[in-house]
Amino acid sequence: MINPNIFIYLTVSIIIIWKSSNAMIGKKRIGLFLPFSIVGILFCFNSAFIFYELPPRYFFAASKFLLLLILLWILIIIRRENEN
Amino acid sequence: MKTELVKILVLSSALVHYVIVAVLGGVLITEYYKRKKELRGGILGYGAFLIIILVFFVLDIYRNLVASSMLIDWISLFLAILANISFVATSLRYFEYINKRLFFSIPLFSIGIIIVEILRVLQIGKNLEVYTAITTLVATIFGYLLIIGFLIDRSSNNIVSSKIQKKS
Repeated sequence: MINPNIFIYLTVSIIIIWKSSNAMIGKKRIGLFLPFSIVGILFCFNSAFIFYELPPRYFFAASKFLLLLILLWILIIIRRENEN
Repeated sequence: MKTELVKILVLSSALVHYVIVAVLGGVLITEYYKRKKELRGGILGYGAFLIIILVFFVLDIYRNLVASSMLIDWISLFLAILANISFVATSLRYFEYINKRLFFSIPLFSIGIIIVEILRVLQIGKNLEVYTAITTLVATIFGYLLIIGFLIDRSSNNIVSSKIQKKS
């Protein structure tokens, strides 16, 4: 039985990567949307850990920590954009 | 424990690799049909590069998880060289539109992969699957950024402005 969480993680990651790459091309700026595509790649890694039923505890903890750092990065970008 | 870690890295990097290549292929296809004819150059070349590395990675997963043979080693060495050549040829043709730093970093990774493949054919490098999986993933992420940058630089406004600059 496949864990249903994998579909949620995979769909969310594909949507995030797809929308962020289209936004990069549309707005003509890579740096502004780079953290979003990294979040998509991290979600995809998480879905892989679930799918293959491998011991993912440390990887999950590390990816949660990375997600927190990227959230801070996005907040800093939004604040800088608002100041400009 | 070591084999579990190798499995984690190889399989999860394979899944991430497939997703990135699929999304990038979709972006390239939509951009190809959105653009005018004179702005389509380079998109097909990069599409061919993506397809070649996708086949290379499928073979790599098969070799690591199912069965390894001399023929598969030779085919993956050939595909690695072909992917490198197609990428470098397309990038050199449209050199003014791409990010130079990313361009010079990607062949370094791919030359490393070719060296590993040669070692495998010579039956020296048997325990280097993690290296190939991670290096291919990093090269794909760099290639993703390079191709997005190429699509941005080769959009209509930039072409018009560069033509005006050349005339003046």
